[in-house]
Amino acid sequence: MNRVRQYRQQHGLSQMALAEKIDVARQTINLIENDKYNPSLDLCRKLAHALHTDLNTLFWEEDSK
Amino acid sequence: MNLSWLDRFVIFWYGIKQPYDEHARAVVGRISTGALLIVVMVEFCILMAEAILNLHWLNSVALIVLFVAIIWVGLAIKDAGLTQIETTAFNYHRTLNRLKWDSVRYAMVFIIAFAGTMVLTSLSSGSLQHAWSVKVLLMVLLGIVCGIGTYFQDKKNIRIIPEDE
Repeated sequence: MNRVRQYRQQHGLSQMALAEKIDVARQTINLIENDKYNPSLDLCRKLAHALHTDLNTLFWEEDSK
Repeated sequence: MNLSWLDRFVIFWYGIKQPYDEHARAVVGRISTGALLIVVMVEFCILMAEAILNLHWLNSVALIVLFVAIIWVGLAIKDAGLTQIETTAFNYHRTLNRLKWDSVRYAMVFIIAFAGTMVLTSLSSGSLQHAWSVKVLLMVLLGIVCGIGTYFQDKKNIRIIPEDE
């Protein structure tokens, strides 16, 4: 499971606010948070930038090492 | 996000209300590809049968298959949630206002497309003076009805989400 929800909540952002920030639908954020959609690298970068973190922190899973 | 003319046409045609992001594109692409493959195969079989067996009524069947495919794609896109309108209670009136303008735009396109077609059809048959204004007026009325219908249909699709969601 990625850490998008955790970081979003840490920044006090709603799904809609984050979606508006990176110009996607709220549904897309919801699907990413629930691991039902694999975002493109470009979208991952936008998410990491909007949440002031990096790709590894957001998406790296310890189990996949 | 830059939208091509094809993207704009897809958004208008299927009434997509969500932002047309990469997920929406993927959903539309998946549905369209499936529909296209099925339509091509079915149309090929129908038209081959029509040509070999000389059954002219199969042309109508081919047309119906196309019509069904268009409706099926529209319903699949709706099922995927792309036509749903999400807003917060705070932005509800702003969303309604946007829907009003969308409906006006829809009605305008309907009126221009159908009234234009009627005038051109009358012109090509050489009878433009024959009650064409009545036909155009009818199309304007139909366009207004369609616009109002679209507005209330879209209003039903509004989902109010909590501010913190």
